[in-house]
Amino acid sequence: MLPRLAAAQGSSAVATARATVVTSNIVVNGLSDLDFGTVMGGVATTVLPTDANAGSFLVTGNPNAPITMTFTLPTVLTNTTGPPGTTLPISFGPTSARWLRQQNNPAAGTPFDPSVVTVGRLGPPPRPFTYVWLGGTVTPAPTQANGLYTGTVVLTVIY
Amino acid sequence: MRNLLILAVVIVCLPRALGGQGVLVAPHAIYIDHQTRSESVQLYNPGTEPVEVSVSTAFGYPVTDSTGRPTLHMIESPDSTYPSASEWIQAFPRRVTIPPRRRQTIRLLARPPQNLEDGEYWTRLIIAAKGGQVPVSGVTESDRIQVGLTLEVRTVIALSYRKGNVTTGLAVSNLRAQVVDDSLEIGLSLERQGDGAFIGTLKWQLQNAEGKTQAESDVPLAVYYTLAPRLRFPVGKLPAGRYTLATELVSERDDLSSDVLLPIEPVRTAVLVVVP
Repeated sequence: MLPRLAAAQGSSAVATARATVVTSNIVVNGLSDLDFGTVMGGVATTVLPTDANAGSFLVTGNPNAPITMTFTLPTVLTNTTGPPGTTLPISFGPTSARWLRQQNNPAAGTPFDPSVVTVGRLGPPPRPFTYVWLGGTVTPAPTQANGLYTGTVVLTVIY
Repeated sequence: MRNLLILAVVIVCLPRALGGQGVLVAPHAIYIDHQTRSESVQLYNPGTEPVEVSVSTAFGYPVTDSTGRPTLHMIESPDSTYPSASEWIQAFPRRVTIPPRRRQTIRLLARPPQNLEDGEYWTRLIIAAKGGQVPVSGVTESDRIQVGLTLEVRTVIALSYRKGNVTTGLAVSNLRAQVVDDSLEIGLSLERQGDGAFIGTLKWQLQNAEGKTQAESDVPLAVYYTLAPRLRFPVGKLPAGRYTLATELVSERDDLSSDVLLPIEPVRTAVLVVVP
């Protein structure tokens, strides 16, 4: 039924030489922050995951290993230089994120909703990588106070 | 020493353009024996800026949702019916700043209760890493609205603590498969036997009516309680006909040493697949 697999498990007297290189590791790296730059009051601004200023991550580990990715996303950003307590809404849509094995090419990536748990897979050898990109939309009010608005995006990778 | 060797190999293999903030974690699965009660994890900052790292534990295990998609079921306060080691595995240091291109050893010490029964106990190690500044393009000016988000990354790896003779096994049911477009979808139900998690590999072959293999592949699996994955593999365009999908679950992993895997007898199943 399963001849080749069964042979590998059987108690045959034929010796098979096999060398397995165990590369037991994982690297999750934030490559670039999600940067909206300067925005105008009353004008919603969107950064696409394919834009150069999108947030980007690189996951490296064992070839073809499945990984589970979850984002923890803010709903508002905090003004760190202006009036205390001032916030700016931020949102993420069903295609605000993308992932792709092996290559740093967001245009070819698979879109996904960053608010939903997503299963990816690392690339085959010799490039056991998965790249992840994240965009979003900020919606400043017409009377939005000036200042530097910041927040944190957390990518959790379960191996 | 083995971990350091792994780390050295890995650092050489890292992508050349690796920058930003993050941390390399090796190994990616931790096994602690009741006799030694300790292990270590190597962290390495491959970037050009210091990285703040924190290490914590939480109880959780992989499950699948109703669509067969794997996820991690986390339980904040597991009761005594769960084999949780989260309360008595301690990491030293728990917070550290790693300079660029430097490594840090995290020691893991187990302080289990005195009356701990034989068996396998689990926790997840969460390694959180974040950089420093919020880089917003251009010069920060108080008369403008400027927006930037920093990235934090968390790596979650498995830790198993074993006491006594731990065994595992698998019961397989409801194997099914269908060809959708150019992919093969495989679904099956898995129930762990014994008292240790099954860590291994699902291998499969798709054979045509003449017994010729048309496609084959494998995928690593971890079954802590039950799992009902739905897996999809590209197989190309297959001619219409009757095929046999043969699957085999074995206690082998390319990424783990065999001495930490609990052995099982291979579990084989098969199902007919019709391509219209």
